[in-house]
Amino acid sequence: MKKITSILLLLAITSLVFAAGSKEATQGEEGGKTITILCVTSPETNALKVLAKKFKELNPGYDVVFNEQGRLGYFTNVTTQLVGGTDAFDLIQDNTTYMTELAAAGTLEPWDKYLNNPKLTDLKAYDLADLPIKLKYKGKIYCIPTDLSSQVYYYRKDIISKPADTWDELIALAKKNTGTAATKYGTILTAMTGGPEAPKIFDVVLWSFGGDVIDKDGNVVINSEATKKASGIYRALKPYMPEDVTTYNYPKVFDAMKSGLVAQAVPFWNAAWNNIKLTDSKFKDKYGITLVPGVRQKDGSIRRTPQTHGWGLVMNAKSHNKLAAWKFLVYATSKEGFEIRGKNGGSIFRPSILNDPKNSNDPYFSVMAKTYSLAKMEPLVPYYTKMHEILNQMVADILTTNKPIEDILARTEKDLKNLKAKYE
Amino acid sequence: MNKGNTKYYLILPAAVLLIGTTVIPIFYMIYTSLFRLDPVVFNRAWPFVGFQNYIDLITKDPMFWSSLWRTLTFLIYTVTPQIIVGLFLAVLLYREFKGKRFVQTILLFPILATPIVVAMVWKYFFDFDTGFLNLFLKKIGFNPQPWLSTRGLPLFANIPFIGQWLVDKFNLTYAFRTIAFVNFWQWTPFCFLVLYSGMTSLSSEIYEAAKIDSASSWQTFRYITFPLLQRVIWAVVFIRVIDCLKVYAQIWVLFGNAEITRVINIHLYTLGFTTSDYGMTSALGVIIIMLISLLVGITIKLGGKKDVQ
Repeated sequence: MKKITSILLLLAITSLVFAAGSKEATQGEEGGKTITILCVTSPETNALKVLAKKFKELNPGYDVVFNEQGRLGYFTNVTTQLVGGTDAFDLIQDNTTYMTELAAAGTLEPWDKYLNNPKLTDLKAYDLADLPIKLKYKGKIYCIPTDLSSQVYYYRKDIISKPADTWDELIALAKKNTGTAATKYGTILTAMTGGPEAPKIFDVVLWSFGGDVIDKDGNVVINSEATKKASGIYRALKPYMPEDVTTYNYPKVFDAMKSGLVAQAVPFWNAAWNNIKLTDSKFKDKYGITLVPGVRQKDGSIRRTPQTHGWGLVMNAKSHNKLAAWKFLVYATSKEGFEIRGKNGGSIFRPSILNDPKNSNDPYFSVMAKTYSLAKMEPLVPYYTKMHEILNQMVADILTTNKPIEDILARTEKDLKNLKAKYE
Repeated sequence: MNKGNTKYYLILPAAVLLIGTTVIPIFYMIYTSLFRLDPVVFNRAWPFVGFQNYIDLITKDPMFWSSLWRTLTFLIYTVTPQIIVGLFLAVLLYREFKGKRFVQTILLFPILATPIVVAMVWKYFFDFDTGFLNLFLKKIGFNPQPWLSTRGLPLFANIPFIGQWLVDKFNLTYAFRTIAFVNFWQWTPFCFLVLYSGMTSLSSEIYEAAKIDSASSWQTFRYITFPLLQRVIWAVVFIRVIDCLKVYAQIWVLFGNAEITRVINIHLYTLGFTTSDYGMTSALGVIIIMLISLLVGITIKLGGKKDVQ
């Protein structure tokens, strides 16, 4: 009996210790002043850390704790943590790509009530109109990105005097610069399937022909003349790219640029401009940057359609420190916040900063101002990642097989319709 | 305490652990495979869909059959040469020669390395532009090869009329051969090790008798070593089949979850953690368990018949 009492006592003490240590005291929406952020190791996070330091100086008593994780499996972790109902994080850094599904799952807090409360947000100073990208789901804002990724056109200035305006010109330049003394490959793009990169890059070409995957009414429209033309461009570029181009993701294309293997990298991510400047590559100053090519219209203009997605902070619906979290969110996406992060490795997309004459020396700013004005996001659907699975297979088939394009598109259309039906 | 029950008490901790970490999750997986389950509905009532996830996998998932078939071809392309070369090495190193220990030690190095590290090292070796292999080939006057590309192997792709069909149907691409090679490089020494151990356990008298009867090396192998080793060979086949069905890290490092090299385990990961379709993932998990059980059953059945008289 004595033994049993001792064991029960021990169990009770252990449980109490665990209960006390497992969670901070619940504080309700008012919450405390410690903001915990789940984030991924990246230049964007480093910029956020600098911002957090300034935030703490401006707001004594507040603290920002970063819970940083590596890139591998990060998005999986974000989904499982949020869907599992964690309250360990107030803000979570995520890619806008994945946010709709999380919003639909009810794991994210909409921003509207904080944004529209004058006590919490000075909308005039915040200048919402200067933030062209807002991630909305069912009419509510769930995120304003802190960083935007889009595609631009990198070309070797020492061998290409006039970059291509159209896809046909790009093919001609790629042909001319393949296997020369200066470069091995005429062009390169990220075509590694299995992730989000290949479908996004394909969109840039597809949209320029006036096509789409899913139209604004939610119809599957992949099987179109525009997609056939875009697929034709991919197949026409193939001989001038590395044979194992379907293993090329961002780091590998970046390495090819660094080592001078390619004459052009297009469409490629804007992050590479600043990143290559930080390397010791002997080619780092040889690249020019301009808008992605497009399709010439009857009036002579070029339809260029870069794709964009953002990195941003979303608010956990289960957070106990929502007001403090909101305070940090407003600061992070304010003009001052953008300028601080921009100087520390973050990407700037507020037009007021990009178009500021003081930045006119760097071509990046004007190219990005124009790029963001043209760019659009992929359809924000709750089956986004599954849609990418199907599109990845389409891109792989276009680049690695000789199957007729018509067959590939018919199958893609069927698969997308099946997927969509599941969510209706 | 009843002494007769002691044995049950002793196995209780292991049984609880096994049930808690294997049996219950399997039953839970079967249960979740009957629901539509993804992040959107996770925190609500899960819609019961019966066997729809299984039907969707089999009839609508474009990657299910191709990744399943790719897994089976991977199994054939890796296990077969591993057993043949492993057996060859075991016979070769069974003889006494100077430096035998050194060669044996060198041979075992690949097993000691982590599969993920092995794949990363080979990935750099196989890189088309900067890889050691192509730099070496160029140095000795050969053309560099697209080891990591999905181009069909010329030996098969150039066959008139059916070349491309063969490449597509049987995964006869550079990329897939590279994957099979990396697995072959790492695990052939394991086959050698087990087969060699099996050979050392064979009675030396029978070899001496063969020697007296002037049996040639081939005859000794054909009529003594091979028949006596069949049990061991099947044991190795059994282990390698299970291991190859589990293959994940090497392919992931070399090609991620690219469709063209995706085997069933990588498709499982993609469904579960990239597209977050947990119901379908559970259904696929159940199918994989059934498949592994079937293949292992066949292997045991075939191996069990190999009693040597």
